[in-house]
Amino acid sequence: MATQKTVIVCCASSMITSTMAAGKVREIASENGLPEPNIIQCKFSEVEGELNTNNVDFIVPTGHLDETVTHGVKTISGTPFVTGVNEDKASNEILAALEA
Amino acid sequence: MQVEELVSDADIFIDQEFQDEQEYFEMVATHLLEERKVKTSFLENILQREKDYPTGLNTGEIKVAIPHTDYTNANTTQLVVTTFKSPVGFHQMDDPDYVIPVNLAIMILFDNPEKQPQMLKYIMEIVQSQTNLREIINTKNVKSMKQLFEEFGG
Repeated sequence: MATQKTVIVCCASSMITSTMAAGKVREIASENGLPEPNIIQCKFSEVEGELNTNNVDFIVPTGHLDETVTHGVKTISGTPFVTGVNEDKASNEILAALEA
Repeated sequence: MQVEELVSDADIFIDQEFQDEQEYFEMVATHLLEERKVKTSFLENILQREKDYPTGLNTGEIKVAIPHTDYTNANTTQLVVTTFKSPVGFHQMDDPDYVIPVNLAIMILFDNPEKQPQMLKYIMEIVQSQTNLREIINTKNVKSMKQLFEEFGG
């Protein structure tokens, strides 16, 4: 049984595109009978701080997130959840990370 | 939230010509300011935001930008639909070094974060469908455009 994952979903404002992606991450978990992930939705500028205070399994940015702030934590692009392009591939990557 | 409230006849711009995205932002922001739908801070904020975190989406053959900025700069929650006669270059959201030719912009104004989830679902259904985007750029008058957006909602 997969354990509950902690996921950062982020964008510039933490309002629009990260909300779109966060919904998808929750949907993937529930559709596959996985524990509902603990989602931390924040701005790009807040990622480093969240990483310092939480044990984060992976990060889903919907735009360009500077690698220097991810501290080597696995990152899966959430842009496909906004554009609809390559969404299946992104969903599979999220699923694998939730199941890990 | 009703779609009728989300798209207003007064804020639909069809087959507009712009040299660049700056010119687009200036035209729309000036119009919205006259309508008092945004605050005086809006233009400066949305330009800076687009520069730092661009909103061009590589959605396929028809590309769309979804400009937006902090909700404190707007007085309303709605969309501003602009189709371009010739594509306008916008930087790509997930790869800001790339400039992509964008066919239309759906600007998102919001003044209250709580109204968002339903609106976002609606926007996603539009931008993720090339069929819907094609219908938008092929629509040549304001009334039909408004009607089209109402159909997307139903």
